[in-house]
Amino acid sequence: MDYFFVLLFSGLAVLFILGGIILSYLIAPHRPNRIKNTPYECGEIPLGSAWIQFNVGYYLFALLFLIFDVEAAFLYPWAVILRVVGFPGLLEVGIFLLVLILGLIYARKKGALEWV
Amino acid sequence: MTEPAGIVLKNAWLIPAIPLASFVLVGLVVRPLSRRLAGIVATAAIFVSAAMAWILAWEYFSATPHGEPTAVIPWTFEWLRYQTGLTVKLGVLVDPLSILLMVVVTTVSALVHLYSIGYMHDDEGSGRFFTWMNLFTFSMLGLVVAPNIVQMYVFWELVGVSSFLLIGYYYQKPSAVAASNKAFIVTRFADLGFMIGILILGFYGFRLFSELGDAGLQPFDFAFLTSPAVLERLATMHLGTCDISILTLSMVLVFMGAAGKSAMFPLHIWLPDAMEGPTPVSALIHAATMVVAGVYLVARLFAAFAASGTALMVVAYVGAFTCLFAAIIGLTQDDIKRVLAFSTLSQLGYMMFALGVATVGHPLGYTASMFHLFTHAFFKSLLFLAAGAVIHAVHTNNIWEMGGLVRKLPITHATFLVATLAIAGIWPLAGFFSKDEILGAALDGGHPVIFAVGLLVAGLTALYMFRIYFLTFWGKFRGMVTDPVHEVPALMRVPLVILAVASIVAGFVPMGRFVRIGEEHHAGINLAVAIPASILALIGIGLAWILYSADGRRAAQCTVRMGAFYTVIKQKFYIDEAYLFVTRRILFRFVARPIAWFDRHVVDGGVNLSGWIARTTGSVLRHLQTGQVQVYGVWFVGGALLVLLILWAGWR
Amino acid sequence: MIFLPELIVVVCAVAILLTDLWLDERRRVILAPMAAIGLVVAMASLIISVPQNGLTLGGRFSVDPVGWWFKVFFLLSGLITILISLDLLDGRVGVRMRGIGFRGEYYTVLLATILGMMVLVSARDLITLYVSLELATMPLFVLTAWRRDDAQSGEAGMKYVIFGAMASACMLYGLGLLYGLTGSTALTAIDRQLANMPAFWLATAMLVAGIGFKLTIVPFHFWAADVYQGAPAPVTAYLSVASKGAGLAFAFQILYRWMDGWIADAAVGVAVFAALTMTLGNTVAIVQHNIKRFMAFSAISQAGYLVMGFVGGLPEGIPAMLFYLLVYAVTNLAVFACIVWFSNQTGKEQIEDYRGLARTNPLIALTMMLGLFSLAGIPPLSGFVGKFFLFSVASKAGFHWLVAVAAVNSTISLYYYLRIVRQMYIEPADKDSTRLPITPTLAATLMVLSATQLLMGIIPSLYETISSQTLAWLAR
Repeated sequence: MDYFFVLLFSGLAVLFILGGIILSYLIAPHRPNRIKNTPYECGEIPLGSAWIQFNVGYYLFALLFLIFDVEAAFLYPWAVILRVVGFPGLLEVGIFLLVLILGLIYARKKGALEWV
Repeated sequence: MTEPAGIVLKNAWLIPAIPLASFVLVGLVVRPLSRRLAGIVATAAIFVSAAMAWILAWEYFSATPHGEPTAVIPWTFEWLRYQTGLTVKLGVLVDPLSILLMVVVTTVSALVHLYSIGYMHDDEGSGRFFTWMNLFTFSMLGLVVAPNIVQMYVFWELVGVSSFLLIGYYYQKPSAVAASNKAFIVTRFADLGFMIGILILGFYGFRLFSELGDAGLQPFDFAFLTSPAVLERLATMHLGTCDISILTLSMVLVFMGAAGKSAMFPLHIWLPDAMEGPTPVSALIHAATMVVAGVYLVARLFAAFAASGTALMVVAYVGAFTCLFAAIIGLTQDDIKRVLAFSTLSQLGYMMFALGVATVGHPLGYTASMFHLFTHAFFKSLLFLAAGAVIHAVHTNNIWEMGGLVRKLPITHATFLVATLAIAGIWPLAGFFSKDEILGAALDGGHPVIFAVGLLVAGLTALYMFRIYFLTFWGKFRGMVTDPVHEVPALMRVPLVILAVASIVAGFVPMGRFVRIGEEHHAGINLAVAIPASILALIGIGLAWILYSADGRRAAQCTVRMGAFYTVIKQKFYIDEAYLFVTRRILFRFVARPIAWFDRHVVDGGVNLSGWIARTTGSVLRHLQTGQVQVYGVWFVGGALLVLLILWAGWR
Repeated sequence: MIFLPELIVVVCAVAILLTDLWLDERRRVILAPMAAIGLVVAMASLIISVPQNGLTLGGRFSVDPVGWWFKVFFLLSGLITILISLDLLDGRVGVRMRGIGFRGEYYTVLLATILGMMVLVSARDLITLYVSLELATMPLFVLTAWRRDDAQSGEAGMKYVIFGAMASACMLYGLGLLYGLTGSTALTAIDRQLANMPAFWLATAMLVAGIGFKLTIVPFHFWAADVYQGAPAPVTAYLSVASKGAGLAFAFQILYRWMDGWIADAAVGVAVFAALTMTLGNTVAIVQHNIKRFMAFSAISQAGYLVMGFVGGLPEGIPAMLFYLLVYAVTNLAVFACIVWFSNQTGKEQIEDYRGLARTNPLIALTMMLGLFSLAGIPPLSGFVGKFFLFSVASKAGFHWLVAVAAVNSTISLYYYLRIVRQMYIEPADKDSTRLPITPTLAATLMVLSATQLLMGIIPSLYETISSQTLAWLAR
């Protein structure tokens, strides 16, 4: 019996999602036209196809940004409890930063930071 | 009782080690330098080994002139230690049985090597040939001296590998390649039974070992497995609720391996095809040595087979059936080497059923089997070598394309005749004595059916052997070859003559003194057996002479040759027609053809079928591998659910 | 400093990555020796430390003899992989277009997976376990897709990522459930009390599925064939050996170290999976034509033999598996070294392309034949001895049918290994085929590997050492 609620929960979860989709399909009116079918792009009229190649530099920048974003997010809580964790904490964060700096050096040397 | 001792006995490990060293030396160093030198080095090494084997035999038997023979293990080395008390050792076991085999293997091998120097003279790859031949000799000796069943299995496989390499020696010929694969796969299939048998024996042997073991022995040692205490326990243990005792089960499985190696029905199919290898290979491996490994294995474990009567009966009847079956097929073959191959099968059948009819109380068959192994090795390898000389001269295997070779190949003819008489069992040649002992053992052991089969086959043996003899050497040359036929070079003649002498005198060796169980016995000639057997053999020879001595154009030729006996000849002609009618219309069509058909389609087909099943399953299963990750994912989830199900079922 | 070997590997990886930045293309040949030396030093530090017991980093990292042998295996297979990758990376190949670039990154990534595997066997904590498993797996995705401009390599990498992510997620859920049930991330918290809970079964099933993915157990094996075929040959070699070792290490950590009673109860299930895996691997291997795909199925069947060691949860299973793993590393990598060399020189990967190799390059053919026969378990070679111990474990656990299935399978396997031997030794060579060159490093590697696998079969002391050390530790 312990697992009855797990079963109930799973069933409800499936029902909820399927129910929503089916219900909207049944109730909503279907009158498509060209304007309705265009992709939404912040209110602008879209130019050309959405299936175009982006400059790979975007991805590199995005990745690097993500890494340093996470780094910052990690440093905030550490800074808050710096006095509690003391010197060993400082050392560990030092190692953490060192690894990231090595990565940055690698990225810089490989030319990942230059926009081409 | 004195422990046999002597310099060679102390260093008996050298007997297999010398061919091994020579294999490495020839294979890596000599072969690239000169293929002639490779042959000489390889041959010399085997001769040294053979000399040591003979000295060993002399040292051993002079130390125990009439006493109970003892087993000596002069050299041993720990190979695998599974846990304390369960180790597998490599070693050299010296007892009458292994000495007999060592002498046979090294002697025949040395002579075949010598012959091969001449035979392979013009072959570009003869260096490779001698390398593999040395490897084979080493593996065979390793098998023979094995003190435990694991070592025997290891060398058993090595022997199989070297046989595979040698059958496929003419790799340009697709038939040779197919034959080598077939030989390997069929024997491997049989070895599966052997291996399972070993595992069962090892498992129960180890269980018993703690209570029955002895400090000097290991659970896999033959000495432990054949000790009465162990056998008694194994015979009373049963597999689950089945009626079969562990002993019988494991012995039948072990016999399956033996039957594969010794080409017993229905695992015999590889041996005739194996004749695709060079003729010296057929002489050494597929006549004198490797194929008797199965017989040797049964003899080694004889006490265990004897303790389980059922297993021994299987041995006896499979042996007798093969004996008859192969002899009948032998009558219909046209390829000289194939006739000899079927003859080998039939003679191995003799050895097997001789072991099968022996018991601990009545061990004559045991001695007789080993005796026949000993004599057969000489005359059968001689037959092959002489056939090789004929093939060498006329460049064909078909007996209908030979004929009239008496004058052209005098020495080959003389030696072939000696061997043919020996295998037909004519006094005083070797085959007479050993066959006489086997038949006597079957009769005294209370197996009249087997005795009758043995007697019948004695006649058939004479018939098919003299059939090829007459067709090969008598009459006129029927071949296409126009260049003159030459006698073989002197180098090849020497082994032929030595083996011919051995085929004459080997019958006088008092085998009952050397290889025996229990009391020494002097088997005199058993007239009640010898007379009917000899008469049947003579009838077989006579029949062959009538039918085949004149190329098949009998009527006309016989008239010319025996003008005065015209009427008789006419009658003979009539008999011949009758025989032809009987053979062609009845015997051949209704007996031999179906047997050959059965052999080719059912037995052979069975082996092919299992290969086909594996391949087809593979092609069906590969379609599961669609290449779509989505499908893989479904299988992954399915697998995880299966695990869950198993766990759930496990705790219910 | 019981994590000294791991530390050396990290330092070496970083040093290679940074050195690579300041070298011009011609001087980058020193990177491979650097990586090799790094692994040798790590191995030396491991050997000096002899199997010992120890705990550090707040109980999250520990060493013991079993882990020690696993680490020896990981370092050894990493080292051999570097030696057989050399030619391809340094461009000493017969086929120009076959060379692959980015040497510095290649070695760094390779060392990273080795590090992950080494930490994996030492982990005593769910989080460390999971992170190290990911560290061991993710670089393999990258390595698989290393040949960027090759469609097959890319496809293999893509499939591996998707399937690997799925397995990883599954495993993470399993570990999460375990955490939920015990309330602690320590592996020691898992005990037999949990065995009656359905949630625990679910967690175990998810973990087993993940382990099955790493070990290529049927039906979690599907990725292997496509990935092995598409990946560059040295990477395939590494995948088939080390990655399998990591799966076994993970299985050992979860199933054996902390659920030892449980695995004994589930013996039937383990036996069924072992039988399925070896049978499927063997039968499908028969009909393959591409040698890398062929070796993939061969590796699947070998995994089936390997897990026989888990049957019944006997202590003897551990040394048997460790020994087989070492034998398998040496044997399989010897075969792969030949395959890598052949595809470097000719660019061909079909089994038929090997015909007549014994006549153009007899030594390579001999090495390959020895390796294949050892994989098939022909007696005096080490593969036979390894199988012998595994079979006897199953037999001791009372699973005679499994031993019979395995014996039948090893007979079938002989049939298809013989196919390659036949191509090399029996089929005639093409008319235009000539002797192919081989670099001294690869030749030396091949010889050492062949000699080692022969010696491991003949000299018993290695198994005895493994057995006595691990059994003593397990019995404590």
